Amino acid sequence: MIADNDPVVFIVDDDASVRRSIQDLLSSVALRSEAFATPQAFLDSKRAGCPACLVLDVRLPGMSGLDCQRRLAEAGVTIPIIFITGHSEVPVTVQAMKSGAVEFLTKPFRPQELLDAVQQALDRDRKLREKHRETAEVRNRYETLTTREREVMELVVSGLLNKQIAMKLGTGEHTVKIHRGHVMEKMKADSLPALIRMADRLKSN
Amino acid sequence: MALESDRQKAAEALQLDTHSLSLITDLIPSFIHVLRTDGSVLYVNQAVLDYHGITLKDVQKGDYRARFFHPEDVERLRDERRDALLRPVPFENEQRVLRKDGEYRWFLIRYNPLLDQRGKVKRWYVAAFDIEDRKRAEDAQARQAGVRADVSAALSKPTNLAEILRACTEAIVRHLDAAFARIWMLNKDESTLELQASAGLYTRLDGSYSRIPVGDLKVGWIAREKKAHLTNDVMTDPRLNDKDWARDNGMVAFAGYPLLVEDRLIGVVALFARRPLSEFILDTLASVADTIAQGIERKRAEEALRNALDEIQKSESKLRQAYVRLAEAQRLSKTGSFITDLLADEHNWSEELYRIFELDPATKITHETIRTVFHPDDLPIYEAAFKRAVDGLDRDLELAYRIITPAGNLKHVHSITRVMGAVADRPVFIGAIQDVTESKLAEEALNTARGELAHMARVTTLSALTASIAHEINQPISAAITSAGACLRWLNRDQPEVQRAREAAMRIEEDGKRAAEIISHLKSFYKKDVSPERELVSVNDVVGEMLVLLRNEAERHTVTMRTELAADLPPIRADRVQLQQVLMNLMLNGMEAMSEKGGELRINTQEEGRDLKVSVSDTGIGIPGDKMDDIFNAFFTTKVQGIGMGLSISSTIIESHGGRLWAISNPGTGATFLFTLPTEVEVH
Repeated sequence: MIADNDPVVFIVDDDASVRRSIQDLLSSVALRSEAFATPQAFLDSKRAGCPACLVLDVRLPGMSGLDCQRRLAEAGVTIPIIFITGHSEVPVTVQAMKSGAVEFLTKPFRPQELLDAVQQALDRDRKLREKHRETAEVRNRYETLTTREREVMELVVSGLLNKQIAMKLGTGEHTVKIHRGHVMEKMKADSLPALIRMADRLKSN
Repeated sequence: MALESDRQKAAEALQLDTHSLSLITDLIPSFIHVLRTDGSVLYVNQAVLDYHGITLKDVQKGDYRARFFHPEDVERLRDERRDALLRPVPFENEQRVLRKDGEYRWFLIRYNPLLDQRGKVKRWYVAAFDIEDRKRAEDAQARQAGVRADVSAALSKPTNLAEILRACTEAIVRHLDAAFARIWMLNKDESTLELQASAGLYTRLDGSYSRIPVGDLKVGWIAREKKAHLTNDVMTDPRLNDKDWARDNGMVAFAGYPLLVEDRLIGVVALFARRPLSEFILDTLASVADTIAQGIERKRAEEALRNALDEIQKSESKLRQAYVRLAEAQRLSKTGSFITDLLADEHNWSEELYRIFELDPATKITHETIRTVFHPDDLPIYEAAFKRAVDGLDRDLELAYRIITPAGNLKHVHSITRVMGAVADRPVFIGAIQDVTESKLAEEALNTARGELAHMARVTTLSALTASIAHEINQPISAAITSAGACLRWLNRDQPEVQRAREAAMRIEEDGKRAAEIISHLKSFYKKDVSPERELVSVNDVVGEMLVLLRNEAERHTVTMRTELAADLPPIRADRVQLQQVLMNLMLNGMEAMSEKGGELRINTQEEGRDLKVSVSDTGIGIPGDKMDDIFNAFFTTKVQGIGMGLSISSTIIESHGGRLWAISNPGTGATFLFTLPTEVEVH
């Protein structure tokens, strides 16, 4: 029933009872989950590339939830995190949210709250993954451009007219037109704004 | 003429008569004097001349009296004689008269007057009779009587022995012609004679002859031989030590007698005299020595008796004092005493005991009296003790119980009873009962205060733990709510997953129980236990509870808790809450000691002999050696926020359970706190 590319929810909590109850709750809404008693065990685990999110207890033996969040960020893992805590400590909450936590739930939380947060986190992960996938695609296309085509693309997205580009590159307006056509074709851009967005995505990465 | 011739005849006849008379008188062995009216000697008979060793002519020369009569007597009788000579009546007196060998002898002298027609004294006819022997006997008797009287007087004087002996020597000097007299007494080890009295020429007692070894000199010899030593010629006596002294002082005679009581020597009496001592005096002395010896012995016996009486009196007075002091001590210490013959129901109570029980000292004590005063709840204590005592099960019996006096006062008393012996095969008990009401009340107040303090310390500790404990309770609650959410979702499916829902519901139950348990632990902690209750407690269980309560705190300090709990530990009789408090204290202390770097907290339980031993070890900063002694003191703390009561209270709690709490430094790092608890707690 659950396929490999179905989303998975990771849980890290030192309390077995809490772990089990969250797993069961997720299971009741047909969500796959994997639970760990310590952050280290989670970090050490192999994770598939499916959409995922992490339900993380703030206070944990060995490594705190915030430490774990930092470690993931350092490792370039962008998994959305839902923090759960025994008692809300404002500074911790602020720190967690700044560091990109999806939600910060205080125990005992309503089950629906957790489920909503998980859903939200998974959506975010899905979007993130989509975005990543798209960026990778654009990059692949960009890799196919010749040096001259990349020069032309840069000048085009910076808003110059063909004539101006020709003057800058010391070539004819016609030649620029041909390069521009290749760029639009190779990058699969159907309009100038689309190309500009692609250029932005490449830059931001 | 006839007249003339008559007178002639008469004269002749007279002459004849005188002559024949003188012849006749010379034949009489008595001493005859014829005196003129003035007392001068006209004639003496031959016996007188022979006595004096003179002729009749010598008699007429000079004053006869002055020459032959003792000057003392002449002086003594001068007036009396002169007057008597004037009266025409016979008289007599006694005088000493000098014999030719130079000895004065006593004479009774009778004077008879020859009267003329007119009744006037013409001549005195004097007859003298030698009464020397009678006189001597009289004198000796007088001396004897005198010395005896004085000695008996001395001996009967109510004074000390030294005084009596002095009086005895004085009597000897006074009556027996002694120059000086002395008495030595034999000392205790019978080796030496010690001078006790001296009268006459010498009166000092610390001179050169104050101590004479038995056997030395005359006196020592007398003592050794138990024989008298007598001499009327000391200059030739080989036993006289200092002849120069004797000569210089004109000493002639010495007499020394052993003082014997039934042949036992007790001393020596001796005298020196400047005149020879007569047999009679020596006899007297011998008898006086005997009297003195008996007298000393009697006196000594009396003194011994008196000393014994004194001792008895002193003892009695001491006893009386001791009794008074005892009564006082009993009163001050509020301790009464009793002697009881349980089976005969005879009870002898001290004053104070009556006072404690607030009973009239005239009350006759019986078992019933005692039962009435006993606190009804404590009566079984008395009955059980009574039975054990009668059955002879206990030699010593110690009881603590309450009484209600007739006036209705509640008192706590403490009694100790011991079997003293048996009278007519019935055991007799002696015992003391102390009124401990005040100390009991003080103790109760102290316990209350201690309880309050312990409670305060617990609440303080718990306040600090609130966050941790809240989290601990939150976990199961949170899990339960989550499971409830799951349960509902399993049921709300188009195809309800009843089995999964049931599983979830069971988890809810478990988690709910878990939360309730933690809360109940906490509730006991907040309880104020003024009167601690002892119950059978498993130490391992208490350790387990603490692990739950402190798990979060451990995580906060990055401390791992590890237990090494011996299986099959016997339960101990203890106050569970107090035990929890001690463990919590020790565990929190351990965690705080490791709060900088984290570490491991190890809790170990084991059975050791008749004790359970619990240890809590940390790997923290440890205890500086010089602080080891201080840490159990109240208000000692190394913590910024501590009040320094934790270890002090813990120590008090463990001690009240009959155990001990102490700390040691670990060989590596950190410290170990250990405490013992006896597995068999005596019920007080």
